Amino acid sequence: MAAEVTVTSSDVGLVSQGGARRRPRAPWLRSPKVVAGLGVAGFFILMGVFGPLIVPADPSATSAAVLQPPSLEHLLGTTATGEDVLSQVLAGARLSLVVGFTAAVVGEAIAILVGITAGYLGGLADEVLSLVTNVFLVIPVLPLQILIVTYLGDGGWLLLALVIALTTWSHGARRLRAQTLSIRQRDYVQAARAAGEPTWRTVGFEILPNVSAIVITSFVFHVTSAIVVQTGLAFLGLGNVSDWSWGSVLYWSDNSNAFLLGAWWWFVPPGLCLAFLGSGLALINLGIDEVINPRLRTGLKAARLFGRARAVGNEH
Amino acid sequence: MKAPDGLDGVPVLEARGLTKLFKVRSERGAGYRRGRVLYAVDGVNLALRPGRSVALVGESGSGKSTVARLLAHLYPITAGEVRLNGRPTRPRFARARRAYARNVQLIFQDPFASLNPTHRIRYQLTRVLRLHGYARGRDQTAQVLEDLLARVQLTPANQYLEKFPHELSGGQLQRVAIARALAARPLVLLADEPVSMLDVSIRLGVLNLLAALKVQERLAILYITHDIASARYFAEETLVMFLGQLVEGGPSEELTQRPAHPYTQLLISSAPDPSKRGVRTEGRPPRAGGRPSPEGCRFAGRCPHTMPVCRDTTPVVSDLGGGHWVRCWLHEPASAETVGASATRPDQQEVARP
Repeated sequence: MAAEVTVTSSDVGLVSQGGARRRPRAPWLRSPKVVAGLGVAGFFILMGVFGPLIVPADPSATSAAVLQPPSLEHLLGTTATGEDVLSQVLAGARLSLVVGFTAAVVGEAIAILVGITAGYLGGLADEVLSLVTNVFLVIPVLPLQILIVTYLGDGGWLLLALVIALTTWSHGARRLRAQTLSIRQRDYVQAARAAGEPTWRTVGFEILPNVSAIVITSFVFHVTSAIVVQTGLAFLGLGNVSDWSWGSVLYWSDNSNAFLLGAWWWFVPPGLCLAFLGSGLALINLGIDEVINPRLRTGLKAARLFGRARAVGNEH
Repeated sequence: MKAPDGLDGVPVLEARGLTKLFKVRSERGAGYRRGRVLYAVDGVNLALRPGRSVALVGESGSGKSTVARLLAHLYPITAGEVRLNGRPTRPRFARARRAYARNVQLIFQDPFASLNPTHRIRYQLTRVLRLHGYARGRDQTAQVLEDLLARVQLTPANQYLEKFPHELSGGQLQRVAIARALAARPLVLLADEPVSMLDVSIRLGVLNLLAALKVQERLAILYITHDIASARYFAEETLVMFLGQLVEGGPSEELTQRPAHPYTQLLISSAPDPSKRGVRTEGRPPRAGGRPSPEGCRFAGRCPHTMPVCRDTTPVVSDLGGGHWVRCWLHEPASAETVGASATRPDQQEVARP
């Protein structure tokens, strides 16, 4: 009797929902933190795409107006050789972002490959891959990056991104390995194996979708750190500092003692861009974390999240 | 329900001397201490026949789930063999696994865990059809999916196909899991506690569904449970397992009416029975834990009838007639004395069976 009641009531629910309502594919898009973060990051991405096209002046064009503070003519002032700082910041956004995203894509790909393979295969493969991962974890990364970039000289942005990717993938790999170890034992993975699914399919279609949230947060963090590394290396004068990036702007400002000269308009804008972009990306991560891990939610936020979710559900 | 003749017929799936050894991790620090092993399954013989079901009953930790997973070749077998249609099987690679899965399908205990939360029901079912080459063309696949869900009484099908697992109830999910198993068109279903995670109110529905499939499609079913009452309801033959060993077996009716092994007696008496309020049996109730001694009866530590011979020598199998057998010295009083004196190990491989 009770069974019939249960089935009937859930059937009614199913009928009233029809086929229209779906689980939101990305529930984190409801989090205000994610939305704010996406807004900030989106602003800088637009800057990276259109910045070099809308520069008010050639960022490398010198002029007689040296070390001018911000004015209507030069919104962010000028450098010691009379270049327009705003143009440099706008033009530099593209290289910083391209290097950051490329390094994160490649680094995350390595992390997925190494981490999930190690976690899924286990045994000797796991031992070897974990050893490699651990070695990369304990290597002091910055000196290594300085060394490699100095050795390679100016190899272009792609090479720089690859160097960053190759030295920073290990954190993601370790996290993914741990998660894969746990998911591998779940029944649906066992079921796929028993059914005779090929290994690549089990990994790609059973495990990978279940670690996608980790991959996304790890990727976002990776972008931030890659941009910071790229900026740091450029600030140290490594690579080609005549290519405009936020790091090379900082390098030239430091080179000309902008700090001692009080030319704050020279180094503050690229620094702020970096800080805001980093905060935006961190907000995305925090928001996703909260959605995935409900324990991080505070009462009010949780109520708002769920309240909104319910309201959206009722509209249909 | 047919009882004793459930033992006839040619077995589709047969386990002979099935043994699984797990290495035991030492509690202090990593690594395996030398020689520490756990016999999760020890010399299990069983046979599944078309249109018949066998219940495997035992407490938590007795190794019954391991038996199911060994039969599904999810774990490598330590010793013994699994025979499908009389031929030994040991699939190692995906292709062989697929061929084996076409005949033998496992239904997991927890339907919330056995369906991938990131895929829709349609994907989960279609995937099996694809794997076995049963999905030909869009229309035909849709028809097959609809039939599958109809067979597990989930209608109309399109209400369920586009759902994610978390949108369905436990009973519905277990039906989907059964439909997924049926999609491979197997000869054998290994049901590992298929109803224990379900609400009491829907257990009977799922059990009846399995019983109907058994009759209609002549499926051979291994029904694993800790509930000996449902074994009697569902299966023609019941096997009782204790710490990796089968201790008693026979037609379900006979076994539950006249349990021969003290452990079976305890299992039956520990099932709640409203008409026997206040009646208590001797011996401790079944519980997990306790390390079996390598020699002697594994139940000796908890048995109310333990004799000296029980601690020294593994019991032999006694045939009680009508397919009912037991592994207990109580039923071999004569040889218990002689074996107890000479302390030779009896042959434990062969289980008396017609």
